[in-house]
Amino acid sequence: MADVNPAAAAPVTTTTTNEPPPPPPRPTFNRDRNIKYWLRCLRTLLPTEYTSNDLNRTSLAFFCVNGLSILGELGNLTKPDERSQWIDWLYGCQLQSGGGFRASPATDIGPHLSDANRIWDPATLPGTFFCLITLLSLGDDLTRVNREDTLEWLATLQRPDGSFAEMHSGINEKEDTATRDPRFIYLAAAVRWLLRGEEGSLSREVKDIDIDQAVRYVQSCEAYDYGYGSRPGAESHAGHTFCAISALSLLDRLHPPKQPVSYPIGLPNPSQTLRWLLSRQNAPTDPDAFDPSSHVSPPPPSFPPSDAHNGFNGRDNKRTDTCYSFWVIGSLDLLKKAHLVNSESNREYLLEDTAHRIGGFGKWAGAPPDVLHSCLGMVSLGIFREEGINRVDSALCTALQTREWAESLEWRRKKST
Amino acid sequence: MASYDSDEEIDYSTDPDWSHITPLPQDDGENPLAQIAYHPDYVVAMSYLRGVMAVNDHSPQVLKLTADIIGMNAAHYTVWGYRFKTLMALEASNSLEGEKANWSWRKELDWVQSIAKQYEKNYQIWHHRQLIIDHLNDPTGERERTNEMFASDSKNYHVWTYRQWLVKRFSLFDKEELDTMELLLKEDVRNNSAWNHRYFITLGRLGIESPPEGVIDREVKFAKDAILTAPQNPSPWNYLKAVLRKGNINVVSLVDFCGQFAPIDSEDDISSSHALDVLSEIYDQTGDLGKAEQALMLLAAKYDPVRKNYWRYRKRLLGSGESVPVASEKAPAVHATV
Repeated sequence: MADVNPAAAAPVTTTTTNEPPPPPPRPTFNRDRNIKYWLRCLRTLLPTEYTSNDLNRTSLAFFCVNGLSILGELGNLTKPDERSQWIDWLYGCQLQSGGGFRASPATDIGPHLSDANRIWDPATLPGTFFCLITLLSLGDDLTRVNREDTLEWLATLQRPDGSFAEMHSGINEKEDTATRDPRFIYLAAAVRWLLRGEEGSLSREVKDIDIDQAVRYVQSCEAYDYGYGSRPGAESHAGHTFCAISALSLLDRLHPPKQPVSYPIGLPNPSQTLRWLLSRQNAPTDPDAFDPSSHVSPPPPSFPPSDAHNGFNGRDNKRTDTCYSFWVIGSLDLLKKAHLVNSESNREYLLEDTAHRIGGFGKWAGAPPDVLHSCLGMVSLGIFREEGINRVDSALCTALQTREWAESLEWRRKKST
Repeated sequence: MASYDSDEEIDYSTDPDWSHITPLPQDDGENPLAQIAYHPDYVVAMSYLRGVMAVNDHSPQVLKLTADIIGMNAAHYTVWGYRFKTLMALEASNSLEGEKANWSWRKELDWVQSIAKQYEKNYQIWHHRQLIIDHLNDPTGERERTNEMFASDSKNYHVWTYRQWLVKRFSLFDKEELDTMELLLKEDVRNNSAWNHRYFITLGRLGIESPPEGVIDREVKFAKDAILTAPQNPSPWNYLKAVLRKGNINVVSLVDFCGQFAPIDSEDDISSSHALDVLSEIYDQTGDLGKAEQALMLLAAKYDPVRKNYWRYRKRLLGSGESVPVASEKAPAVHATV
């Protein structure tokens, strides 16, 4: 064999010297354990604690399908009829009229639906995004999606300031009290990206969203420390920052061209937002010095801090948490700056601290695994091409293969006349 | 139903209050994804909710049903919306405080607070509260309610979002608000949420307007005092830099202040990586590139090693004017329409 590593064949040194002890073995991603975790989530009931996500079951579906898909085993370890039943379940969430998907079967009243009560069974932006992306992961080509209706509905969710409503809810809410955070611009941008296709590919003319105004709204959520918050004036938060950056990315408005342009584009202060994002990587909180029931900040790391086992937090002076390893590194990847992260330290945090012995990842060390943290932990590692994890796409938080499948679909092309 | 009691068990199938509603079971198809091991009580209550929604029933007993479901799933946005609509309908027909419902907005707010304490990480509860206070057009006691929440979780994002809305909606940019932030920061100088709110009420809300006389000086002093107590705390450093920008004061003015925490020629006395970072910016601006590089290398080697790739990247950008643009505010901090 020509490619043998000569170091591996070297005799083991047994002499005692003053040399420092060898570094601990590099942690590895336990692929088999994670495959088992996702198969269990897909095939058995999720524990009762997930009831608080009952109205967002399609998001749970996304995490479970996506988890196995990122490991490249969805097609191998599930049966075709299983996948086709799951596809049917997702299409069952599509509204019969008006476009979009509900976020859970919980509000479906079947044949009792009427014009008087349909406000209680609305399509939602999360429901629509999670159903579409999960269908794609399962190999569906989205031809059963009411594409034009969904895009029409999408434009009606946008407000004059550029923000998006999560749904048309059953109460006549004043704009002032309604949710308007970057999450919904991200989801709207993603649904538009998935469904709109090339100019001229739709069967009828459908009003587009106001992209300029959406970009302006995203930009207005920049906080004084250059992270992004849930609305103008709100505290910087890594989840909202990811949504802001990936929304711009999916609207093709993240990277300004060299020549000045007349439309709004890019982060107003990219080098400062970069600094804020990188500042999220922090040493772990000493569990002995931390009282989880305390309402004040965890004790700060020692100074100078150690660079071992550094995960990411979502805000200044908060604990590190698995999901922020994705929200932050995903953002940096879209900004083409993920190489500035200390990826080895992130691996130590995820693989040695938050990975669970039954598979999956918990929120932090000692926490039980859940589908959100398990999925996002894997995507975070996937951005750095972790062995055993397939290539991923940061903007859609999915396997790169899923994005490429979406891009390859024939209905996206301009109709030949 | 004589009175309202959320702890009271309801047997929907035998209770005459519910005999007019046909429960609608969930249709989950042949092989659903993400099936949850529901508690049997939740399954029954949800079937009645679907039955109620199908006929748009907003009668008093709906308050019981919705409370029952919220007790099992407080993040159920549809049930919160349905409850709000029911409260509004009962008020419109003058029956909210009637014998059957025996309820009031005040009782609702008390109940919501008790739920909020049980389920701290919940958005819907605070949105519901916001709808009610907006409807009542009266913020009395609301700041105290949020303060109670801060006593158990002083960084709760939903509560802070609500507090910010409250302050904006009722123009509560007053001394009480500033004093509360001072108190919270005295208790925990690392509470970044309180720093953010302080910025919002003192400067952020102004958008592109100039701050009133004395505010910039006061806030600079406030931030510097906080840094003196904990030099490695990022929150007041970010605050200080933002206040200076707002006051059009060049960061170079911080050279001596930073020197206290980062004497770059006396390595062992360095007590703040943030001071080193600001010093590198200052020296980059003043053309002392050697010193700027020294600050960045201290960060990479010892004082902030996890970010060594970043500090080296910053070193490569020295002198280019690209690493840290000292532009004035590019976007107004508060959007005009919000």
